[in-house]
Amino acid sequence: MPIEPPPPGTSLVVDNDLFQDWRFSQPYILAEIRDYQSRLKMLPALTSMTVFEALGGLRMWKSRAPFLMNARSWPAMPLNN
Amino acid sequence: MATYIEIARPSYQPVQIINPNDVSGASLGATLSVPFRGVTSEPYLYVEFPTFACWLEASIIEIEQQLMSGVVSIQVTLYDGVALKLILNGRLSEDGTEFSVLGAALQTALTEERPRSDFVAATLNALLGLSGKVRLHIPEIGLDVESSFDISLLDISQKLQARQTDYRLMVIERATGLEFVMPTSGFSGEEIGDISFAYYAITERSFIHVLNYVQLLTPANQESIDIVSAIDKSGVLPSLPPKLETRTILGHSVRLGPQTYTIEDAYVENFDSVLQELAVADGHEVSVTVRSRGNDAVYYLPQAPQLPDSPWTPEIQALVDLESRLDAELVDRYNALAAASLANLTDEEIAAVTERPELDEDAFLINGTDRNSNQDEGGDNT
Repeated sequence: MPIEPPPPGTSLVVDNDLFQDWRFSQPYILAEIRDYQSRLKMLPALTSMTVFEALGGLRMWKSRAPFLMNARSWPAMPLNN
Repeated sequence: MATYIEIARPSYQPVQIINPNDVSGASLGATLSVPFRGVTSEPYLYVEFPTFACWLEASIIEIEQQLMSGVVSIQVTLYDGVALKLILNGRLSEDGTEFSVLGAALQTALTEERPRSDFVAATLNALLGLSGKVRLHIPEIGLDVESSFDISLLDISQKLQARQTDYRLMVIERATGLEFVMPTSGFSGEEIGDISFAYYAITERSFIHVLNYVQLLTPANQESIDIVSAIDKSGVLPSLPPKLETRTILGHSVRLGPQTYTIEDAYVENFDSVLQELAVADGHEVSVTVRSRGNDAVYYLPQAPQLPDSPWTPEIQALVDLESRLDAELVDRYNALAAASLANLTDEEIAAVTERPELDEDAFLINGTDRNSNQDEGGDNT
């Protein structure tokens, strides 16, 4: 785990590395998310930078392979563009 | 002060639509014989949550039939202080003998502004949102439908946050004998902090909690130099003499008994200048600020009020015991949502879609600003 246990009651954010691991369902991040929800009854927030970088990947893909966007249905995304 | 997220108290008035598309569309599959037969003096609504293998039983207090308008409204008492209204939308057959249920809605309302009522309502709403299929059953009128509720994950998450605060207030009430009336405008961050502190004092007695700094007044002399140096070197602020701890929660003073605490990752703020002032050695009082690197301390409140052995009725205890399963269901939904963002993509596509953008030097310019003019004015573009 790349971060140490946070002080109790501390709100945390997910950076891009953690967000990518979450999207890849890495067991450690799933466990951390579960523990965070259990303690604070909320999910860690995504920083605006994380959202920007995640959307940046989508835009780059779209610009490189626009035909793919039309060829298949777009997977559900947890982000608002 | 500690920083907390302000949690607004949720409203339980909005109608939750079951199968919203079905309200004006396909039947939910239930047809009730009209007039309703066999309704005893005390019929019940059973709400079953198969995902959680549990059900709620609610005593029906009124069935209002507006069959020509296509509405049957059923009011029930779910628990003391929590009312529930089940609204069936449907169509009366031409011969007036059958009422086909096309859709249904549930509306919860608090009739008592107490933490327990809020807790029950929040739990119910979370159950409705996380259960997938929910079975609504009223044997007396032949209603037996299964459907799902459309509640966003964010709403459910907020319900669980409110539920946690409600539960903590219930614990404080039960341990102290106080009775809280819920605020109409939510809680401030400070109130959430006080509720959390009192809850842990009652349930844990020794616990880690937020502490930003401690201010000590000590005479300028060699002994103080030794003490302050020892704190900074060891990183430990030993336990100070106990003081009686009282927190004000929803207008009530909650007495928690003697309190001590230690900081296990302490440092002395402005250590060098503090040492210089203490070295004057003329006995004048010097203010020393000791901080925690993690902004927390270990608190001890050995005489805080206690919960009785069985603090809740079986019904409330059953709802309390659902907590870990509610959390797990919610997190599973969010995890699935995160994973769905890469679902059905090839490795190449995943690599492309997760690639970080390369940011050039202009990446952080505020949109529409002129970099040159800002530089001329000494402005900061970041």
